[in-house]
Amino acid sequence: MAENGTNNMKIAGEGSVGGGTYGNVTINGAGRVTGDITSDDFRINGAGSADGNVASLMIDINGSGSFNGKVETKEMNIKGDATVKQGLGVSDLKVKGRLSAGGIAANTVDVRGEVRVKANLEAESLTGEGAFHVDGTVNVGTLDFALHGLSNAREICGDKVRITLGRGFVGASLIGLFTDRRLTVDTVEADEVTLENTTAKVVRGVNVRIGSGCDVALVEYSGTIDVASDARVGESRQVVKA
Amino acid sequence: MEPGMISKKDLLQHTGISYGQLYRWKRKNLIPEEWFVRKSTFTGQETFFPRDKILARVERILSMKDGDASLDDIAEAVSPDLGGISLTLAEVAERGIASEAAIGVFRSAHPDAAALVFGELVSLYVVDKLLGTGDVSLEEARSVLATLEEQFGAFEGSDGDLVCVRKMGVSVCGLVTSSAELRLESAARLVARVNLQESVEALSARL
Repeated sequence: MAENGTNNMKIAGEGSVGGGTYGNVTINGAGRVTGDITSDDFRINGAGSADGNVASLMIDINGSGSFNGKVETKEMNIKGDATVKQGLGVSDLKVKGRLSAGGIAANTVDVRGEVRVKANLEAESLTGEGAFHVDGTVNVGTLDFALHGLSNAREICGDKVRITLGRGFVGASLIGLFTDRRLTVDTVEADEVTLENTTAKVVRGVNVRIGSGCDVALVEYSGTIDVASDARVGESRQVVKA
Repeated sequence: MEPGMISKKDLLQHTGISYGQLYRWKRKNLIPEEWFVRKSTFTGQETFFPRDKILARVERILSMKDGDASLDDIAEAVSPDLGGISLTLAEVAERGIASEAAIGVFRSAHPDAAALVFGELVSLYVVDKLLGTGDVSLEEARSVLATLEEQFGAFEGSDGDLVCVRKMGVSVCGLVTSSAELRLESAARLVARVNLQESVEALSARL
């Protein structure tokens, strides 16, 4: 993976460094990068921040990371807390803890914890448990998410959407004790829709399952519908598929 | 509903595509974000599309898929990366991208130009289209070219239209976003409105 040469850079303890092209960048302790950076491997153990844009094959955050510019990477692993002020373009993203971003375009996203997005979240696959807050649209191929707190999105659309009530994961008792586990969304549109504990204005799909704890004003389906006995559906209509 | 628009529901029924396909194409940038127009209706929010554009695009994607093209290939075809291309004026004439008249307009603005990069080719192509339909005079074509060259960059990544307005023989041109509605005073007349994204696509098909 030495595409950007072997000019490695390491901050141990505390320090800051200018931008540039590097092989491996490692921050052990507290460090700051003051310009745009291109690297093979960008690793933070402790607390790190980057003022400019970051392009790196790998980004690993153990602790906390804060990015003021755009971030582009193939693989990003967050254990702890990360903030990307602008857009995050990533092939495979794993979050254990918390991530907040301006927008996310990804291939796969796996969340154990919480993700917050100011604009849109796009991914071929979004899986995980915890909570998500997306001010714009969640556009996904497959969404499979277990709720452990309050989640919300303006719109969720895609191929398969499955929202379930989270059960038995270690952090669940912590988050779940104090908050309701519920997703609030304006519109869900997907071919296959399965929902639990979701409040929605409109759900449109081919095959739709409205599970327990749901409150949906309008369901439009073209294939099958299944409504749990303790779900509330204001109106459901079958629409003709061409 | 506005004329020229189609609702999402009607689009899916009309074309037989699924939600999954529509949103996958959007993720792959086969369908631009600006075409998703959200409007409030009495049943809540609904999404509309510019009818002709979206139907043509869906048809194109489906026909390319039948030919076993991957989504990435199709993305390349509908929004190609032509940043690196450069043609001489002789090649422009040879490939029939622009007529002698349009090339003349370009030459008078850039007497020393030897090779044209993609942005300049698009400008030239639009000028040629306008001259070809007889909508604008040579003089107006010069100001269209200058406007495109100055302002085209501002519309990078989003869809814009070139508009040309004439009142009492005096013409003005400018760029607007393609979804914008334009109302003019009664003495003024919209002489031409050309979509830049379509021009980019038409041009890239000829390169």
